[in-house]
Amino acid sequence: MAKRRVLGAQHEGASGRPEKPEGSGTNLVPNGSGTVIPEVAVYPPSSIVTSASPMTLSCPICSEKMVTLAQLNQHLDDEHTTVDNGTGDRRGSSIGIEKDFKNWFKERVIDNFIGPQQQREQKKLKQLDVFESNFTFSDDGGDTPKRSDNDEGIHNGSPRRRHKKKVMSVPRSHWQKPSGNDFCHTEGCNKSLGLKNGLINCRKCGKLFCDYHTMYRMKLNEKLENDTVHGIWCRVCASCFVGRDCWNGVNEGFHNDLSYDFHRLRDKKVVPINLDRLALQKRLFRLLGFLELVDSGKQSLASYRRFERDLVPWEDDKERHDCKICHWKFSLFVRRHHCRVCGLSVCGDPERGCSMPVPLDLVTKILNIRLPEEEDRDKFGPFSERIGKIVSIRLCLDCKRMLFVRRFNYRDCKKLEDGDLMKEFDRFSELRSRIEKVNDVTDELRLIDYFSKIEQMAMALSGKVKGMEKAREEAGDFNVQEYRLYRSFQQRIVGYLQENLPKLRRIQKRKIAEEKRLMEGKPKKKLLKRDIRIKREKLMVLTEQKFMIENLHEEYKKQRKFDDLQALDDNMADLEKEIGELKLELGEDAF
Amino acid sequence: MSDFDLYRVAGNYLQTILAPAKDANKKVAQSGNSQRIRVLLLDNQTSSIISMITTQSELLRHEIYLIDKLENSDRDNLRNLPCICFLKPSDITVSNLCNEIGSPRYKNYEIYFNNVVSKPRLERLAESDDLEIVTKVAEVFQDYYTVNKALYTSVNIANPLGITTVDTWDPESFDTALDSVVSLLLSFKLKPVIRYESNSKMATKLASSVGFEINNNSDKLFDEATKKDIAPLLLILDRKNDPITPLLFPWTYQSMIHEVFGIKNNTVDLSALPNVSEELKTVVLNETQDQFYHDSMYLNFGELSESLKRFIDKYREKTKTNSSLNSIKDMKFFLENYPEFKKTSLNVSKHMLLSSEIDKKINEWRMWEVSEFEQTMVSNSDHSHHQRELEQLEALLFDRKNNDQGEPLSPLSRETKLKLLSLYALKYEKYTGNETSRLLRMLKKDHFPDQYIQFIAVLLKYAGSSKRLPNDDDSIFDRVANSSGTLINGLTFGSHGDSSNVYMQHIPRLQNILMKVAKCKLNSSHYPYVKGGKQIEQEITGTGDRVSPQEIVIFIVGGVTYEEARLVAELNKTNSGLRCLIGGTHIPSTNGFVENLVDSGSTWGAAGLR
Repeated sequence: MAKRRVLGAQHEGASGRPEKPEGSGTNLVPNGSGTVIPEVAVYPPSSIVTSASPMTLSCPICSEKMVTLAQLNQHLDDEHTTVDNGTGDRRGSSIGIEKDFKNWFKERVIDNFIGPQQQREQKKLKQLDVFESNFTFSDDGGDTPKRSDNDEGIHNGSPRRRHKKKVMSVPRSHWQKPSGNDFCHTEGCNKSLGLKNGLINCRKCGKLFCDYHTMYRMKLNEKLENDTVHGIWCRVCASCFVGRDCWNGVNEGFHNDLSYDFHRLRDKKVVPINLDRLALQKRLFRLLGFLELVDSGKQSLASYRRFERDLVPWEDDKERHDCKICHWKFSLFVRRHHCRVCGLSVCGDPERGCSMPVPLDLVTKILNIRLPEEEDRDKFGPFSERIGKIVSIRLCLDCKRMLFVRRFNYRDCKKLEDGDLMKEFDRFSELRSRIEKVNDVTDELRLIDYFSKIEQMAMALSGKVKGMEKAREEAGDFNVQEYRLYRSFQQRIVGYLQENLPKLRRIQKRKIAEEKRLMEGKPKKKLLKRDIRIKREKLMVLTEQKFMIENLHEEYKKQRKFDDLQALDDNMADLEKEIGELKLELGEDAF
Repeated sequence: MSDFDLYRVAGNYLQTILAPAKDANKKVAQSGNSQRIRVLLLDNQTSSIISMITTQSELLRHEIYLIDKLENSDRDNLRNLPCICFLKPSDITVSNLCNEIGSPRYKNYEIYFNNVVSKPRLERLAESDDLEIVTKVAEVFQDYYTVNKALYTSVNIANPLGITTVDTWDPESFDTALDSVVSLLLSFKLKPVIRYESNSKMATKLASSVGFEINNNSDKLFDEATKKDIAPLLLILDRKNDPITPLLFPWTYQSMIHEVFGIKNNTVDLSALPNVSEELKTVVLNETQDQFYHDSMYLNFGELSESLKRFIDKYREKTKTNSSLNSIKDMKFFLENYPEFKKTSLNVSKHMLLSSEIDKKINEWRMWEVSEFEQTMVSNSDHSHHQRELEQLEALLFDRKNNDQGEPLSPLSRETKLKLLSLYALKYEKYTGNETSRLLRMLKKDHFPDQYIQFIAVLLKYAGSSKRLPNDDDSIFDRVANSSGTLINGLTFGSHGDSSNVYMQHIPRLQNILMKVAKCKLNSSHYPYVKGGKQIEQEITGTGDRVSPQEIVIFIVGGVTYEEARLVAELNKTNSGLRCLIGGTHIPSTNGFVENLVDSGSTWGAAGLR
């Protein structure tokens, strides 16, 4: 009942008026400033009272005139607290239209009542009454008379009706009807609903809840969907509130993939470069091809020198006076050279390394590394000693990088890929994937084998890691990265084993049990007919006993000998266990 | 559930980063075999971010066998291994990365930036990648430290209080703070309305910059934010409006650990303690990895010892059943569960060590006595107790107290005295009978260090009553709510501790602000909105609905305290109608706060101090 008063305070808060009825401080609590509870409907008059004429305050239920808000509160407490669920329901239903009501309130009450228009106000209020009495719930057809008698609901319902066309409204046809004996649907709440705890329909799911568990608001549209743009604020239950789309998935962690942009940007630059590289490469291939001819004696070395200059026109000496890479001026000490594949002038300073003669052997070796995206082609060379050792091809740094780096990297990658670590890792992955694949129960026994293999790997690895540590202490010969890789790998395997330990132990246990059963099972299969007969008899006796005990049990229960009952129960459990065992043993032969 | 959970976000980000790359060249290999040994490359910033959200064993499980820093130039070539980069898109890191992919050490690179990458930087990177070894570039948004489930801070901020003049950012710290707020908002896909404390230039600048980022982000990242029923609220506060909270000794577990040992990136260094076993030299505090910590981090000291007792009893029970290894079966069981046992026992000893050490320090610092005085002093704004409080203060400041036997008690530390005096100076700043300067003169005679003598002036310059927001209806010294649990607009506000507990009387001012937010009554001249963006304008004028925000992100310039984080955590726990995140430039302990001010004060210049 306190809540009714609260409304006074509530409303005051909303309309920005400073006065508060006495005792409203704590009562304010259950209402959100927005969660206007139905009695608010009453407040048009009350607010008018405070602002304009104190005479127009009247009770919403019995229309009795009141002088002050406090008096009205008192009146509500005294006179109208005994109203049963019916009122509560009205209260609930009226909230659904609070938005409409607010609009209505704005137009009808605020607009009209501000200024010296008291006469008109009175009139409007009377009009209100007319609406009330006209109003009936369309979806409440077979309701109790008590409910339809209730002024309050009507009071609140009317504005909604009036504004149906103007303002979207949230349907109420799905609302659960109160049975008079309802409980809050919140799990673990179980408060009985009524005046004390409130009786509110969640606007979305329609179920009934107590006041406290409908302290949530979300925006709904006509289809009862959460509509963040056009929806109107509605009072809902916690699970509908939390179940909103816009509320969930917040912890997913938003990320933004830029790969597409990045690759587009890169292609812009890299595509021309790649074309250049192909051109350079082609020249180099042709150089090598000519050298092959030289090697086989079809061409002379001198013609190769001519060929070099024909392949790519060398940059004119007049055009450039400094190295294209380091920009040192060419002089007596800084000699001019030409890169054989791009033809530009570079210096040959060995320290700066702007260009250098690359031995033919090396060039062929590198070019013979086939990149995965390349088509298969014939390998160059091998060249004979005569040419291979003498001839070298001068390349500038840029061309060298363009032509060789990819192949180098690829070669390194291949080499490392075949390293011990990778092999071990592949084995580990292989075993792991096999373990994962084992789903079948019968296969599980094989896991033991797999796990023991992994265990062996772990041992071997830890040995290796220790060896490396020792080597570091002794000789300082130490590859940190390799060591760290091995150590991580070992830790990984140990971690994996620890994770799977319970599983492994379980299987081991089962295996032992299974072996045992196998041992026992074999003679069991050959259960002699005599054995079967004996066991059947035993079973029958036991069943008989069980029956008797059951009877006794009933009897004792009637006689209320509960102490003895306990003993019987124990007995019974034993019997049942034994029967079960026997049945299992006999299997299909039981009867 | 659907609460904000920084750890959940971090976990999902890790999944994104560490998910096995889909190699287009190879057929998607059989499960297990598609995974390769991989390298994780971090930078100085991201390595500490990563360290707070994951463990090495988890990375190992994702086949990350090598973790290195981009800044480390001694790295060997491992051209067979793919590399995952998690980097901050700062200028220097991007340059380093460009060099790296120009002469690559690894097979290929998947690059994840932890914040928004500017277009020019992306272009620079693309131009360096002529070898075409970058397979993926993506932004994840985690340019902040994940401290608790709902507590974040900026990453290694240099000068949280401004450097040259009071209330002014230095550019570097400002960028750090801005980055953290922007990435936090993006990681939760929030496009908030922003409110800030109008009396703070730092908060104002930060707020308007965040607003600018939101509206002018070139990638329109904020347009992908989830549409909400009501826009989330980003509340940017300034520490100076509540200088009390970081000066008071806190009494809850996490705060006390920070107070006594200092929590740095969720680890505590215990190596200074005598007789600490190797395993406990540095301990990690992570609520997702440590159940006991999760359950107890917000408990006060009394509750903590009970909780610890239960924890130990449980552990004893467990070990007892296994210590009597009667049969081989028992032994086997024990061995099987050995790693688990070891973990638990380590955890037990960790918390034992922490809490016993806290207990020791509390007694050593005479905190029971000091804190009671502190709390009563700050829990009312009434000046009528001045004489009594002054007497008590003097007794503490000049070690005049004796114990029951009439022997003088061990003297208080200078820091403690300074904090006591600070509270007095703040409270009675405008009181005519204020004797701060006399006390300072006396302390000076006691050989109090100069910087401490100056501190009071610095503090008042930073957070004196004229610097703070005028209080609408209550001062920071008043108790916020003395009823247990207040319900506003469907939201339950905890009483924040037991009101009968003399050590927990003070409630941070934050509670007051949040209560006003819930009531939709936060004064909009003191807490203005950042203008800009149609949608935001609409939110402000609204449709007349007085609906309080359902999501709040708080950022406190000048540092957030664990006590405030606790307040928010409890708010989240009791309300499913509101979810809240709190963060700040950093997390100062009481001494940390004093040091911050001493440091900054020395550069603010003496001119303003007189």
